[in-house]
Amino acid sequence: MKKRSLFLSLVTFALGISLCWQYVTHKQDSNTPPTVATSKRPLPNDKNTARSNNYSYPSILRIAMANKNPARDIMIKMYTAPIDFWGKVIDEKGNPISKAKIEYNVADKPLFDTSGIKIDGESDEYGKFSLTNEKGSFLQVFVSKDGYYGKTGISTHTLRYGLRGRPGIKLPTPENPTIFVLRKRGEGAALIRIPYQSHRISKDGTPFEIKLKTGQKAFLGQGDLKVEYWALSEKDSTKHFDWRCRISVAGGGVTPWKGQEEFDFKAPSDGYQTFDEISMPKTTECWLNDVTRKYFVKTANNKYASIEFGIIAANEPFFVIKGYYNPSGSRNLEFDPEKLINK
Amino acid sequence: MVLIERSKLTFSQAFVISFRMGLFIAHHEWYERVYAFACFALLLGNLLIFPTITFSSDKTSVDRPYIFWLNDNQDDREDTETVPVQIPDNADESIRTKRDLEDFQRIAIRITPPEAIRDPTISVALKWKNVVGSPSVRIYKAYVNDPGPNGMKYLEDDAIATQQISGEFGNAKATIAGTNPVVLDKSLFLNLTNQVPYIVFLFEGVQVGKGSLTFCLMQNKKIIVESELLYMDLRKVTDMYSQVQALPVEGIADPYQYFPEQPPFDPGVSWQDTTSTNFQKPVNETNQCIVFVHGWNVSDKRFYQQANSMFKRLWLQGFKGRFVAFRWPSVVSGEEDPDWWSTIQNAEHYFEIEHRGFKYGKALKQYVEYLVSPAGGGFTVHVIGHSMGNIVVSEALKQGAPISEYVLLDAAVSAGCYDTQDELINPSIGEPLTVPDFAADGGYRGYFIGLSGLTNFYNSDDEALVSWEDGNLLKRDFVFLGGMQYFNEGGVKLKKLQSQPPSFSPPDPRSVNDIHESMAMFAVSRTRTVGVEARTRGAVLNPIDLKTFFSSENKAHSAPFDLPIQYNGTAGVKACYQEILRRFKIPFNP
Repeated sequence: MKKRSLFLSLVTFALGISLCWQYVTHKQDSNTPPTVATSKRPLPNDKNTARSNNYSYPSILRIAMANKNPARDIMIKMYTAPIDFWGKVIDEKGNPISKAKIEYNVADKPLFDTSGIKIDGESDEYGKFSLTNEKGSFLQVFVSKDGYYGKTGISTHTLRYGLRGRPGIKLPTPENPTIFVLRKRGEGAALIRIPYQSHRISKDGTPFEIKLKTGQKAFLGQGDLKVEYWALSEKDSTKHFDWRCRISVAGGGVTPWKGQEEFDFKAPSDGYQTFDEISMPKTTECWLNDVTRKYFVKTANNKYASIEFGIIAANEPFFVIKGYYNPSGSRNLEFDPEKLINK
Repeated sequence: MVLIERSKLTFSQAFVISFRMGLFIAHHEWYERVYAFACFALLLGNLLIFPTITFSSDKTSVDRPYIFWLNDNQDDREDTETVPVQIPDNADESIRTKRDLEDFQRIAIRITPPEAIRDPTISVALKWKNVVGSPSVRIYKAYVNDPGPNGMKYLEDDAIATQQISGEFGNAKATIAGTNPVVLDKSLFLNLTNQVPYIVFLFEGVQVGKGSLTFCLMQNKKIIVESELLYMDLRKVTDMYSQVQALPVEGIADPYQYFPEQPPFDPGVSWQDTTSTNFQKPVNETNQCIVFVHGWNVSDKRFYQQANSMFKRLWLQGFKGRFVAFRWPSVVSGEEDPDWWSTIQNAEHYFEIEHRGFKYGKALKQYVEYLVSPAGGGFTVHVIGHSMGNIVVSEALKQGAPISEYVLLDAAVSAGCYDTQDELINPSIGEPLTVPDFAADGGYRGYFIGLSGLTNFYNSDDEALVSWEDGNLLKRDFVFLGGMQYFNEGGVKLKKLQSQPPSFSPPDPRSVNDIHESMAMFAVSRTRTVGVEARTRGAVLNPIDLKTFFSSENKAHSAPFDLPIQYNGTAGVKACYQEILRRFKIPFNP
């Protein structure tokens, strides 16, 4: 009996030591700071990351307790998947961009209202950057630099380390880094911002004029842009009705911004038409009561603007407008916040 | 606005003194018209040597007071509100953060001609009259001394907001409480000129109450003249909008707890109006109603933080209809817990809450039907769903809720529900799919096809919705409480896993007949969420990229609530709420 008790005590002691050892080594491993030269963990007292760092990895015991659920096992593996990342940032011509700001978001747990681990980095002289020895299900990487435009899916990427090996999951290597593209900004012009605003409009075609320089309503004959709207019939059983809206520039014109080239900030020199019309018969297959269009505008006094115009054919119709106006006469409509003209 | 009660003035005083005090409320076009009229009248009055200024429609009155909310939340950090409130912002005499400025409005005092108060024996004061309760406001000098639109830049311009909370502008000049005159520092008024005869203050509400604020001139501690009254009604913000609770409050039993019997398809949901008894319908309320439906695991404190922010921000853009915060039982643990393990555990219970969301769609439908009825106010109802709240809203709409327009904000719903095109299929889900795909088989795909009036405010890098994809992928492998597991064998079924001893035979599986149970508990979406999927069309008409309001680096799941109102200037948070109103066909800043 004594031998049996002694044996059980020894086994229990050994098991305890083993579990403690595993726990300690696991904690140490979890807390080992990354050794990547270009990336640094934020300081613990960084207000953006204090919450992120305030957790502990699960103990071995807890994992053992949870082992009955296969999904839980998979989830734990997902969120502790090793992350080794290599990236490169180039401009639209393929030239590497150095000293770009790199923001990493490491999802080390399911993210809902809480964020993952935030880590900052910078690209080297070859545009390269990397992050290794992290753990998580996915890594979000955001690249930016003053003087450049970014775009989702080109200057930002999400990499799914927790899904490694699944179809469509491509992860970078040092030889094949994930490519990020920033587009260099052009020479911005001194512009007036036409703030987003709404204006009620009559249903009977009574014109409404706007001064682009102020974005405010103008007396008839004194505005740059004229908007007219007609509700042409009663609503049918599907609540559709005939309506039409005309936007016009006396002495100048509008030309639709086609949208093929997102970074096309230069108004064309010609091709303007005096007006553009949105016509919506109630029989239209995809009948709409809210239509948005983008235009370049040339005013009667040869000034240019880029606008986004929307007409809302509601019971109480109104239109919305926002954009940029260049008071100099230049066709350059690329916005530079530093050169914003305060009205 | 204004002014002097002539009966209390000597003729000579009347000649040189006229006051106008106005509450400058942004975006009120009528104000500008009346203001111009007032200037003209004042000029005419002075010319005629009588300050016989008349003001009409811009007057506040007992029946039409200016209503504003108390600054009793806690904006001690810029990235989000602190909840629960420990130290309310109005507990001290300083403006803590730029974010806090959202809880301030402007008040301007005009003195024409400005020489009127240069007499060293005259002091200036503000006082309450006709009080009900204990109204109290605290005033700060405005950094931008402009009663026009530029004066609102403390809400639109980060640099100006920074100045407003700094130095003399960030420290209170006076707290107006009680009914005794509160003498103001006269030096504030000594720089007035004929060109700039006004001084603009920001004020915050300190205590609830109604009253009329008046500007006074005092001499030898006696009031010699009082301006016209400015009627104000200060309320807690939660007394300014409606709240509704979906029932049953404690939630609906998880469907796998029904075995071998079927869970009820209709567990008997309803709604209860939990609006404060202090709520009063504003005189100028429009017949537009916006209902906000929150997302997954939103605790009470977070619910009010989100609802308060949304109400305030819509209000500041000129929305003057009814706002309703619709509460449904979405909480997993009762508290948000950033602990690693708790987060994992919470994630495991995500889909039980999604199942509830489908069921509470009926409660929302019932409530919207009430709102459009004469008894409910005959409102035109628009709905904003945030995150998983879009399960509730979309289900309500599918069941025929009379919703006019619907904005999906960071929606945590499979994009395939709304759009069945193969282009949306996420390759990492993998083939072959052993779980139902199309709604006809108990899957998500096409379930919400046919809905209309939807506008999708998406963010392709929303970190919470990227995280959603992990849970979605794992769902088929989940073992639920009691060792219950779903599987697909000639249809979706629920079984009890083999238990000890091995010789014991588990009971026969039961069929899963309820598509809500099938989707939420077992089906795997083959697409990402509609909240990250810019290509979603089908039932979704308008995709609006949230990054156009914030930044290309933005990944936040709750940016419209959490970011400070000045974020990205007029193109940021402000524009986001303007866009929401536009999609509801409500003019903003009318």
